[in-house]
Amino acid sequence: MNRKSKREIFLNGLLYENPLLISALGICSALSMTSKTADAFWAGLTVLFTLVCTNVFLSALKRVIPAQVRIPCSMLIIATFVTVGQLLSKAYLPSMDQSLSDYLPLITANCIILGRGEIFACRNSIVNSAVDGFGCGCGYLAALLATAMLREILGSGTLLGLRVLSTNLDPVPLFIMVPGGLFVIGILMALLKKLLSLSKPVSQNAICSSCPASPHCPRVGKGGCTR
Amino acid sequence: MNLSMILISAILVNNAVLIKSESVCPLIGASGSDRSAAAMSLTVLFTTLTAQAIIWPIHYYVIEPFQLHYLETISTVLVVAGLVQAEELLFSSRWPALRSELGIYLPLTAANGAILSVLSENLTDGNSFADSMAYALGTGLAFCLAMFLFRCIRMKLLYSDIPESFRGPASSMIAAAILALVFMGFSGLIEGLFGMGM
Repeated sequence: MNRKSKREIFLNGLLYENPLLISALGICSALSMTSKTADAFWAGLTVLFTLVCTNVFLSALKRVIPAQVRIPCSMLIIATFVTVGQLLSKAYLPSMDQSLSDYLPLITANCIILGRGEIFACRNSIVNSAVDGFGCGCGYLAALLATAMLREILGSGTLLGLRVLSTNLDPVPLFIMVPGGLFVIGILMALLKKLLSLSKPVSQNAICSSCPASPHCPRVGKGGCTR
Repeated sequence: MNLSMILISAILVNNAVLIKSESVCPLIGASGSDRSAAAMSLTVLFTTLTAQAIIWPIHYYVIEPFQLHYLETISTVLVVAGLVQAEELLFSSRWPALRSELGIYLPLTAANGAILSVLSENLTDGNSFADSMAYALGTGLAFCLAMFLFRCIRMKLLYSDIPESFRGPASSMIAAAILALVFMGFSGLIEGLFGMGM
């Protein structure tokens, strides 16, 4: 892992291990944050800030924290930085804080932050962890913005509060509710997977060559039957 | 509120996973096999109930008399995280295969939105001990029900020919969307059963 360049770690967090669309982490908070694009942007920025700070701290303390109490310690560090983010947004973005006050405490319960700490920061250097936090945070922010734009346009016919759909077209309120959010995220997941598979050559799955059904299997050469 | 109403409301009408969109991640991540789905459901049920049983006395016998309200969130998070850590140690020593199958999703129970929100809602609404425990039980069972239904759908998905890019979490998310749509049909059940507005 340490051999990877900073650029690779960043791209990995942004695309190949995109927290929301590939690793399927942080869906819960993504659903509640993405009914309006502006809220999604600020909430995503706060996640980015918390993720970088927490990754740096967890990586710096990885030799100090005993394995038996790792999770409570991680949760404390995360809760601390979420509070710092909350106080910062109260001080500098008072107008946004009104609409964000419901979401910001939720970031503590966002599994991306604890997840990246467990997957990456607890076994990598401080600089690499910071880069990973930045990449994942940007990936999450981008995924949130895409989801929120689709949901806002389809669900309320507006974008950033401005009407974009013609008044003859009725918006579908389902899209700003939970099922619509799950649906939009599902479609975006498939889209990102398709785009990533276009950019990479399809490799013959090693399992297929030893599979007895391979002469008749339509999936040979398409990645095999493993999901 | 009587207890059966709290239970029905938490399990069907306000299902924590499918209506309130909390803890969708373990639903997607741990439904890969029967064993991991059952283990995850029981972990969430156990953690919710135990954490509620620990938090309630802490809140009413320590935090309230000594005016320590700034410690409320931290104590909740710490109790849940401590429980999850204990479960992780138990799983790694007793069932290492199951532990590696659950992977990242076992420690992530500490950041499970459903557990944290039921604990804080019970405190802010000032519910009695019995009501709090009923709500916690309802939320845990709601997760178990969602996980059971979702695992059944995943079994069907496994044997169907899904387009390449939709395989994995994408098809699961769309299945979850349809399941959430189904659960929206339960709204109004409380009014119908108990004859009063919520």
